[in-house]
Amino acid sequence: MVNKNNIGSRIFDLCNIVMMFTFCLSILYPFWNVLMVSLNDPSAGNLTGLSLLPKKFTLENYKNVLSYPEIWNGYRETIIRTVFGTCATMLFTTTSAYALAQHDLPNRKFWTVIVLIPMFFSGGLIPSYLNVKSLGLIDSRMSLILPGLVSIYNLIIMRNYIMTLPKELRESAWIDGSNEFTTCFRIIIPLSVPILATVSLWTLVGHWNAWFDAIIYINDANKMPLQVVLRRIVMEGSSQMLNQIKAEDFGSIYPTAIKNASIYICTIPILCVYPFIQKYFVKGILIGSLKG
Amino acid sequence: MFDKYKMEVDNIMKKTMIWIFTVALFLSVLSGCSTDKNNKETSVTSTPTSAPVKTPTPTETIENEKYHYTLCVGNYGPYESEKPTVIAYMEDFLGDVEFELIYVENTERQTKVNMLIAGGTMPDVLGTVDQYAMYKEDIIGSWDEQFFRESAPDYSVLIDTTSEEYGLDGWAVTKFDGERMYTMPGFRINNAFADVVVWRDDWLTELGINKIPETLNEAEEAFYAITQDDPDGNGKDDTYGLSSGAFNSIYGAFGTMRKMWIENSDGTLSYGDTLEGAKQATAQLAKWYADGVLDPEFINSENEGGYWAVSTKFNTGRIGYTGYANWYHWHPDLGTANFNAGGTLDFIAQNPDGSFKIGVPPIGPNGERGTSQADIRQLGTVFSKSLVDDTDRFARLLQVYNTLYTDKDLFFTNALGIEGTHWFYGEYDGKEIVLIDENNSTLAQQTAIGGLPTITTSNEGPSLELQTIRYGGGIYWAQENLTDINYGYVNRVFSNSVLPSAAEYTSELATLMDEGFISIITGDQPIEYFDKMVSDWYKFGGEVLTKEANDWYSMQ
Repeated sequence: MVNKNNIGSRIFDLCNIVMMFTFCLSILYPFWNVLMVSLNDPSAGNLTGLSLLPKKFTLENYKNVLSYPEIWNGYRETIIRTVFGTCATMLFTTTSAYALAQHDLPNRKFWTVIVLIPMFFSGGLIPSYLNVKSLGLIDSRMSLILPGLVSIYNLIIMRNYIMTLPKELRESAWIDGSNEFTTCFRIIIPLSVPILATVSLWTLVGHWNAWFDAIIYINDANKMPLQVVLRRIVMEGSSQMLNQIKAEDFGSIYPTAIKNASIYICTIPILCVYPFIQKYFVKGILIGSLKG
Repeated sequence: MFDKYKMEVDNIMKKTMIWIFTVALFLSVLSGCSTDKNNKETSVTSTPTSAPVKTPTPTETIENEKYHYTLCVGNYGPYESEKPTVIAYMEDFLGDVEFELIYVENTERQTKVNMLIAGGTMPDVLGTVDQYAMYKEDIIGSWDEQFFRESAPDYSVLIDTTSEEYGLDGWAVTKFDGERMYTMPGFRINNAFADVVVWRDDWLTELGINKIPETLNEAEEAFYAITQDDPDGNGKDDTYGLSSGAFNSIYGAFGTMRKMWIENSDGTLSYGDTLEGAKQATAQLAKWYADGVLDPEFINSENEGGYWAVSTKFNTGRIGYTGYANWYHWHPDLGTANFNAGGTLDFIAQNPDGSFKIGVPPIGPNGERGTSQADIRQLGTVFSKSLVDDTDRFARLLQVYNTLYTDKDLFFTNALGIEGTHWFYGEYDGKEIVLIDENNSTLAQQTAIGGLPTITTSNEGPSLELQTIRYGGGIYWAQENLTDINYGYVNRVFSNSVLPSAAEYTSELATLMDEGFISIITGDQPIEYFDKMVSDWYKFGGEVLTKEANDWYSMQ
């Protein structure tokens, strides 16, 4: 261990901690401010400037937003998309990564190159739209899942991870009589839990946050995911609660409080999921898989 | 030895199978490449495939029974169903017409509309888009004025009479190429009145100024008094005369207006920022800044959050004079007959004991005065080529518009919903107005039932009379109170997009000018810098723009 007793390293530690702490505060404070404005009763006065606590605590803003039916539609769509999308992505990514990781895959270099090329460029927005249209997926939930099903970046990461697993595992499994599917799903996948957790979390968050593809590919307003609804509320102020020709009711409904409440309603679920998956990141140490 | 032979055969078989599978996998990748060039041609018919819940039906049978139109005019939120109330009513009333609505998420409207066009399913009627850009891309249809006059006679008469009344040709601006019409003509009653200026008259009384300032000198005295003599009586030196919202009226007092093309005495156009009046006005503002009369934070907008039209600085008692937002944000609280009054209502909420008064733009040293005013003419929706080429269908649509824009009851039904449920006739000051039911008061609610611009091209249209009734007491109030003090500079060039080189030069020149003006006002640069700034403006593209503006203007 480094000797930490001299004054120089102590000062360094102190400055380090102070700087990091300030940095964290500067990132956390906007979240806190948004939360405080959403919990503030606007008839008691609006929160301006730096503020730590609401002037008058109320959950009225949240009740207002949750009574808005499009939020629930959005939740349904986003949950469908996230669950099915993440499951499908994990299935296809892991099987492809497993295949690409094996050295005895025929023409392995060729397939790796084929897979890598689209990572560096894509056709653009309109060709993607035409592509999805010609597949008949416009206005269908599959248009949100299928086009981005396997991310090449995730695929390469997983392949590299599986390549670090010793190939004796597979050989010993083959000797014991398992075929490729059993080896993949029963042996390799359980050993790759950290990388599976990471990639599934990325995919999950990506699906939860996605809005642009929904706007482009979906025409029916009832199938818009949560982030589209949030964007509508926050950016446009266009909702049955916010947009008013007669700009009255400045006291009882404060648009910024509604917007902030919407932001939290759309973000809280994913914030809750994150810690549960995080514990898998540090697991997965290979112990005792090779005997003798 | 037999085993070795068997192994070799196995090997060869294995290699062949591997190659067969490799080729098959590769070919399956290629199968994704299909030639869908036929897709664009098939959707020239009136049944696009991108609409919600579609079962494609053959167009022949539809056209024999009814006229079918796809609409994507604009929305403030989702529709309540596939056939909202107003659309169902209209189809019922008209009998032989069917409307299909295409919903586009408002926050990404332009991108989604581009997708629809690229995918070959361009809606028949397209609104809330950049009409000039579509014209340049050559994707919209055009027709000649005579055809329009024949199909929509009442509409045309209204355009003629209003054009004459205001001296601005409503037809000319729709003819992007100078000959054929590309969009629907219309007028907007809001723009009949210039922006107003308001004073804190309770402060003026407190300071001993008993008359609302009319000349620039009187206004200047009032500014100094407001800044130095603590009119709100709180003992703090926190009040200023004016901020950026007042600039338009100051430039107007010297015979020019920023960001507009002004007509010179010889009939040619010059850009407002480059005129001598702008130099004098800027010098005046610089003097006020140096003396502390102009808000030091004038660079920030007067609005600090919330509804865009609210001048937070004025309403919170930081400044005593402003010309921020439009006239209809400042009209008095008329109760249910309010047109907008956003600024007024916020002021009342924040200053229950205070008062403000609408003044007049101050008269400058040469007798000039004015604020900014928007052109009363409006452009409407554009139509796809497939619709316009089908003269029978297009003529029927123009007839529908003719009815919807000139019949009083239908105009309001189309905009707001069913009479008696969503709106009803009321009265303001003895005149007829339209009152909106409180469950239908937000734009999102009105759009959900199919109101607002869903069938028709815009909220407004050709009839100023109907718009006056539609917008409640605000317009009547304005006609009574603002007509005598209506001094407005209108941009002589209808829109920047009519100048071919605008896209190339405008943003750089605007930055040059904005930064230049701010630096002179704050004192970073002396007033002599103005001349250099103007010559730079001409050098870096302003000369081209001026010539194009004059060419366009002489064509009108």
